[in-house]
Amino acid sequence: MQTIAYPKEQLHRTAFTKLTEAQIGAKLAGAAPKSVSPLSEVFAGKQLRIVTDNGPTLSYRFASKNRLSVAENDGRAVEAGYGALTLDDVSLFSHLVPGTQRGYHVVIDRASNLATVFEVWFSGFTDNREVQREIYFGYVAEAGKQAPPARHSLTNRVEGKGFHWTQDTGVETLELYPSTFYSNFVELSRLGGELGFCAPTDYVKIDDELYVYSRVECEFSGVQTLYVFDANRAVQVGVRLGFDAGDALEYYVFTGRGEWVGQIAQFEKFGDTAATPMPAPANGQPLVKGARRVYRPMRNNWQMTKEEVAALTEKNAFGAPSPMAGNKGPVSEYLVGKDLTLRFDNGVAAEYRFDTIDTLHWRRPGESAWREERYEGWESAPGVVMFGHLLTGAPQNDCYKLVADFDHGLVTCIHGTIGSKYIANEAQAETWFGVIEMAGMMPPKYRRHQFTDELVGRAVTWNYSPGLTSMHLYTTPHSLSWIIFGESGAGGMEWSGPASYVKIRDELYLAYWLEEACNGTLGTILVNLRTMHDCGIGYHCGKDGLRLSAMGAHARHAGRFDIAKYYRLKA
Amino acid sequence: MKGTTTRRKFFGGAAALAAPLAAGTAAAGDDLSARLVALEDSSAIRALLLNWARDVNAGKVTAPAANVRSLTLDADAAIAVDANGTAMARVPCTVETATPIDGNETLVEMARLQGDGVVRRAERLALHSTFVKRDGFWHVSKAELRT
Repeated sequence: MQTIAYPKEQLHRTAFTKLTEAQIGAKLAGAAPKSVSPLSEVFAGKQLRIVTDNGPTLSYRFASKNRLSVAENDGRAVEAGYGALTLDDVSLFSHLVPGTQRGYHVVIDRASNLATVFEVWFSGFTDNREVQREIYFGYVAEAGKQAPPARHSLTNRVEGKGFHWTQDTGVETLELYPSTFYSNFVELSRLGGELGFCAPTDYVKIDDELYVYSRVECEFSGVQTLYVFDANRAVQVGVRLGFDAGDALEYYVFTGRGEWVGQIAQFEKFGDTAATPMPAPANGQPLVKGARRVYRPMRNNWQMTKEEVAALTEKNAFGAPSPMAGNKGPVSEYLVGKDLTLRFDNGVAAEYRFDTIDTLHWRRPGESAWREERYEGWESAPGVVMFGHLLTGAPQNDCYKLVADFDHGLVTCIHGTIGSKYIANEAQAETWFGVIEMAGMMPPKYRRHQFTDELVGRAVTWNYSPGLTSMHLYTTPHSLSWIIFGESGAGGMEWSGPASYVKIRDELYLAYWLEEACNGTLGTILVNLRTMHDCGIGYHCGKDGLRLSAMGAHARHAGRFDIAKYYRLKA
Repeated sequence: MKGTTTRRKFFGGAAALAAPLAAGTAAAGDDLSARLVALEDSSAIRALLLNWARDVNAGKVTAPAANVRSLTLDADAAIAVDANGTAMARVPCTVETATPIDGNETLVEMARLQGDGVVRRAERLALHSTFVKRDGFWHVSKAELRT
């Protein structure tokens, strides 16, 4: 009996229904949050007046533990179902406003009387199902008392943390916070934990231990997951609101227990504990309500048809310099003059003749004619050379990216092709293990390079050229996330893709990632954790042609999350 | 040498005026008047330069070079005023530039999306400016940055 629920499609491949405003309205009618855990009665029978700085004033009467009435800005009160949960002095309650597609998630610290209000709504974007939100900071007004001067605030104090969470619903996730306005989530129980994904996220500081986390799975289901968590004790109370892959409403409050899985580095200046607020528009206008930074790669019009790909004539290997190669290492002469055969376990073999530092000839065993290709190679470690080339005339604009270890007679090939079953100009990859056959070398019969999870959980920064630095977070054995730094050094926008890791030697790893449903690139790097330098090859098919290009960056360790254990198959 | 008789140079503040005032001779009267006019011109140009730099930083006027993010005048300007109603100034400055990174790679595009994707540099350069006086007021007619 299968115990892991793998989805038919992963999030980035799921064709979420474009729900209409009317459909959403129908699904929300009369909705109130459910809860597996007993709802808190902390507010039952009480009244609250919450004043926010630049937002609404909300007057509540709580009739019971699940019914309230709310008046916005002293307007007419309406009744709604709600659910509340508490974490020590902090309470979270959530409700919708009947007859609308709006609602509120309210966090109140009863010790300080400070409040954070998330106004949420649907049908506020092209994808109606995507939850929109605006955050207001304020307080609970008390008769005869001055308004407290302090406020909760956006923060970077959560940046770098990571937790394994298990909700009272049984839902199990890994949630990593390497950015100040994005986060990573791995759905261990919902999706089988194969891939990590990214979503825009708000981080609010209540105090030095308690924070609010709120992400919306933009470009996927549009679901919002918001919770208050205690970083010390790894406990949470939260709410989930949105529509699942089957378009059913998910609206529930939850409690959860977690495990702290690590803290990776922050790169802001010492003393900088500020958040990274959304910049004001250049035209001087105020930010629109709900504004947030969201990477929406599938809306960038980069996709091509099969016919457009077939008609491509521009095919370039190691041409114009790229900002991704500003720090690439020197091109190696190691291969020049060598004649060899690379023989892979899947039966594929290729004979090579390396004529010059940038020209090789290759053919299949038994063929008489040689094919000439332009290549580049780099000797990352003594005797280990990475090189790559296009396969001119191959049916899928194929390329080989190879790492050959001449000390051990081993080779690994990342075979890239263009075209997935989803997008005609999206790269795909497979990994072949094999050996080097050449005069004076006796390759091993059983030993091979191997897939590894040794990089999983690591974070490594990569400086490609001035002004262009990112961080890789190796989130699962099969996915990788990249994080863009902002001017302050704070982690910013993120995205992720399927990936794979092969161990070449100690501290030397071959990694690839596919920018699936992103821009279709296959990135491949040989990561040397001794020199903290990589070499690599990008492979991309776009409207400007097919391109194989060098990459190279300087690395810094950014820490590690202890998460590999969550991906291992257990009895 | 046109400049020797009609161009008056002022380096720094009003120190150049101090000696003639102390002399106090009748023959110096015309010269004093001329020097006062020149000093007023110089002061006006100096103030104009400061305002102009502020406007460059605020994006209100075109910067003297592409991708200039900020321009800070590092010293008092050396100003030479010509009797024909023009003037020149040279002042060391620190120029911060933010040059967009070329390319359509994913990282570059994401960096642009979040308002980055630029190479930032700070350089010590010299601002060379020319001015023209119209209707009694000085205006910047040209400004360029030189190494």
